[in-house]
Amino acid sequence: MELSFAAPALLYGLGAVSVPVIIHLLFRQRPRPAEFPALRFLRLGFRLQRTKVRLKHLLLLLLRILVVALLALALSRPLLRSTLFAPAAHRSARVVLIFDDSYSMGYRSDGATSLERAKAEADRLLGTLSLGSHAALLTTSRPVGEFTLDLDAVRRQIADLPLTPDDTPVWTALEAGGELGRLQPAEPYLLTDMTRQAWARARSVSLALPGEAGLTVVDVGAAKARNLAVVDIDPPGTTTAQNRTLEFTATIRAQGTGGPRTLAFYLDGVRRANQPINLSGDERVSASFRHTFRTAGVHQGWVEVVEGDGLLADNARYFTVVVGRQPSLLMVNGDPGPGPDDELFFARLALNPGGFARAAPFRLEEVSPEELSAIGRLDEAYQVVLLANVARLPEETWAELGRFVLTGGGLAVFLGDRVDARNYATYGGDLLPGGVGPRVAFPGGARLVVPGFGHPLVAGFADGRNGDLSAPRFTDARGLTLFDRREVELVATFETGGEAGVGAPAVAVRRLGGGLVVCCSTALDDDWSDFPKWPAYLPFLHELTKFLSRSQAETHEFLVGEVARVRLGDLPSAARARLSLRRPGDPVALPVAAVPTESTLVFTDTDRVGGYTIHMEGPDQRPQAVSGFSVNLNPAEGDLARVTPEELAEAVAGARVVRSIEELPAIWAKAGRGGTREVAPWLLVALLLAFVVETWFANRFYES
Amino acid sequence: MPQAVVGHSHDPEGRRRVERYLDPEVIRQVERLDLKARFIVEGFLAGIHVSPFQGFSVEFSEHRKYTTGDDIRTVDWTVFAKTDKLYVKKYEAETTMECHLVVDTSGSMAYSYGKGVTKFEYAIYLAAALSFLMIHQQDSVGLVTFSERLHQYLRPRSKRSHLMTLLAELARVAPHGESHIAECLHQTAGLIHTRGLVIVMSDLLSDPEPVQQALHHLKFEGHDIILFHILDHAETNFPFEGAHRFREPETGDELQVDASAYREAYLQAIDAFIANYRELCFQAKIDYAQIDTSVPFDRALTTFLINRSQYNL
Repeated sequence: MELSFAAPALLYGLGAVSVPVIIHLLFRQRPRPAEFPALRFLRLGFRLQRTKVRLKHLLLLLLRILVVALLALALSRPLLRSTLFAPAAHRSARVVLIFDDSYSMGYRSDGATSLERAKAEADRLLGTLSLGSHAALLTTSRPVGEFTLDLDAVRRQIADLPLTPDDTPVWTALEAGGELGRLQPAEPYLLTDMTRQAWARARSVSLALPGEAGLTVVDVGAAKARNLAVVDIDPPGTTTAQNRTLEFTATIRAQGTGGPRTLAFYLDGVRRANQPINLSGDERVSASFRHTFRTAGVHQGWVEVVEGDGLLADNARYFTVVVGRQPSLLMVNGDPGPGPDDELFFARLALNPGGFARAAPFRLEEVSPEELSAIGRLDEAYQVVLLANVARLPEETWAELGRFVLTGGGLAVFLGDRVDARNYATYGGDLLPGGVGPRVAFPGGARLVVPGFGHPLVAGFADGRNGDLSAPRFTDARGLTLFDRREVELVATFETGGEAGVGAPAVAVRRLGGGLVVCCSTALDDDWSDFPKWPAYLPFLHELTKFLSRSQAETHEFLVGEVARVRLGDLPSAARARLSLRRPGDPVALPVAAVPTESTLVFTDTDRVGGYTIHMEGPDQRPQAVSGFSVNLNPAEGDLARVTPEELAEAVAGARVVRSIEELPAIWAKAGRGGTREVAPWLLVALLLAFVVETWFANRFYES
Repeated sequence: MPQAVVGHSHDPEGRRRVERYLDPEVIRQVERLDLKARFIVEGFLAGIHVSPFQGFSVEFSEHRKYTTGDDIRTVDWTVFAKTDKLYVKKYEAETTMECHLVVDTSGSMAYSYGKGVTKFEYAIYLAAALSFLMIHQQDSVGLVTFSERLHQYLRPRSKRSHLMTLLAELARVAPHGESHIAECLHQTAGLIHTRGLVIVMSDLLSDPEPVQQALHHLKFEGHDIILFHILDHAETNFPFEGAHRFREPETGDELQVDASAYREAYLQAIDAFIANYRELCFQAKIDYAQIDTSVPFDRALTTFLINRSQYNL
């Protein structure tokens, strides 16, 4: 037999039993003096009745102490548990309900989702509780709650519980539930689908629960889940230029199921392509889709497994591509000449190989150094400026180039024999990644060495698809002494067998404000190398231009619940004030504000899966999309692999796993746990009796 | 003698005015003892409009009405001629009685609960009234006062001047000392040589057995005894509640009790005490009247009159 108290703090009320004693001892009536001739008769009665009266006084005191003690005990609500009591159909208890509300609970099997089954079990449990029971509701996404007597309110909360994309493991909620039960004994119940993801970062939890109240895990998951999930798409979101072709590779994971399926590619709401795939249970396959983006703007799409399954939320994966207009590249020809002698002959071919300006990935324009100086504001028309063996530029032009880079422009500088090092040092020193030195010859020829291919400028050459940068041979270069600054990176070096070319900087990058400067210490044409004749030349110039025109890496894909930070590019400040964002499923966009100093939109309300578009008010005051991003489910949420009851019992001391609340009475009976009864009603009856007896005795004294 | 005293009053309003003098609280407000006595008697007589006391003379003049059986020779024919009414011409005290008033003046008699009439005052007023009544009936009245011993003994006289002596003595005496009732009654028995009426007024708060023996002594001497057992209302009802420290005024003994707790026991004891005296007096053919100081005087006077009428017989 076990005695516990539902409100043990009220046991301190037992201290009030001292009140009748104090009153009895300290607040006795002061006797009033009175003359009375017939004292002999009073004395006679006194002798006869004294003992009896004293006993009555003592009995009254004991009764009053008993009344106070019974009241304090009753208020503390003692609970008596014994195997003699059968688990009651309706019992008074304190229960903590912990709901796993992760997305995996949306898996549907046998006509109901795991969450729906969890709600039904919780309702069944609440139905076994009698008046006076307390319940607290926590979820794994929001592990806060408090006990309440209003079980109907708890039922309503449960009915409205949604799935959340939060992938917080259950530990936090279990520990919060244990904390709730620390002061007042409670029965914790965890309703979960037992997926491994929910028990990730496993550690043992010892819930601080007195007595036999261990954790009851109600397994509402499917015993054998069958799920297909698109777990990845590459690229998940990117910025590109018009007329570029992107290849999207989707990865599909199968769990417990297989066979032929169809993968659909959607872009801008239109199914663009299908691809059949064949899965053979618990494996991953990939499929690719290619698309050329001819139109500038924000393009959003998804890849989807056409055939549905129990968990639809992970059957699609979203992407966003922001297609900018053709970057405008201004090439400054420092050494014009006929045909191949022209400094820009090979570059011109590489950057517009088809010769079609509209279809070219870049809009090319050529000027002389003098014409460059006359242009004025470069950022109004160009994203990239390329100096090809330009001898010298006026101070004002260097200053304008500096301003151009600071405000987000990209500058590529190819050194050559005509470069005036002093002019470069004097006016371009704050712009270039290093000081220009004299011409350096590589008698045996030098090759480019790229350490690691981790830099975005050369990342496209890592797998050899875009050619081998180490194949060309360089005979000459200008010395380039890099500044020892954090914003300067050495991307490639020259390497020869001789001493002169060992480690000489070949390509260096400097980040300056919002822009980038790439300095190549060799010539753009074939005067100092045979690079233009190698396959890597064209992609190198393309990657260079892309790198310079993108300026800063932009992220367009986030997981649900993550904070989305999206760079908006060079928008007019006034336009930033009239930004709006439309979430998936919303009919209209809502106003948002960008971080003014960084031209970045920070958005935290990423609880929906799909494409988010950012709009700006155009000149005609109509919103137009300027950027966007996709929010996808954490791929782990679709992993329905389950933990075993044994693993769970090992992880949580005292935990038991049941498939339904209805199994509990039998378990309790088998464990000899018995039922619980509230003693308070009996104490109140005893209190009432004691009070009646006290009143009768007290008045009996003074009966006429 | 005021006419209002004569016979029955036919003025109901007047009767009520006079009857209020039977109230001890009203009498207390009267200054002079002789007036107190007179008012008590007047009030008493005014109330006797239905007289059960056939054969008893309520007239204090030289004449009284002729009643059947009176000697025809005592009729005053002159008055008859004038009034056509038969009056006995000469009021002879053929029923003259010698009465001794024995008044307890011990300290306990000075008790009163609240500001009411004390037992002593009640006894004095009653004694004065009885003196007044009896002297005007030409009975002889004597007075004995006592507490721990006999203090005063006035021999019985029937003269009206003796009434003033009695009243003066009653007005002078003050309650003090312990009660030695039994001894004093025995001494009184030794003082009285002529059989008559002995009216004892006391609270009898003493050991009952010696008092009872003394009463038997008086009875043995051939006296008729009326025992007025005067107790305060608080002594008969014990209205106290809560903690009290009671003090006995004669001995100074104290007792601290919760009055409410012992009330029942006290009442049982006092009732037994009174019942004991009642039984004793009944057995000894002593007229017993337990008087509460809140009780109007007519009760005591009625007891006297009943006894007096039997004395006639």
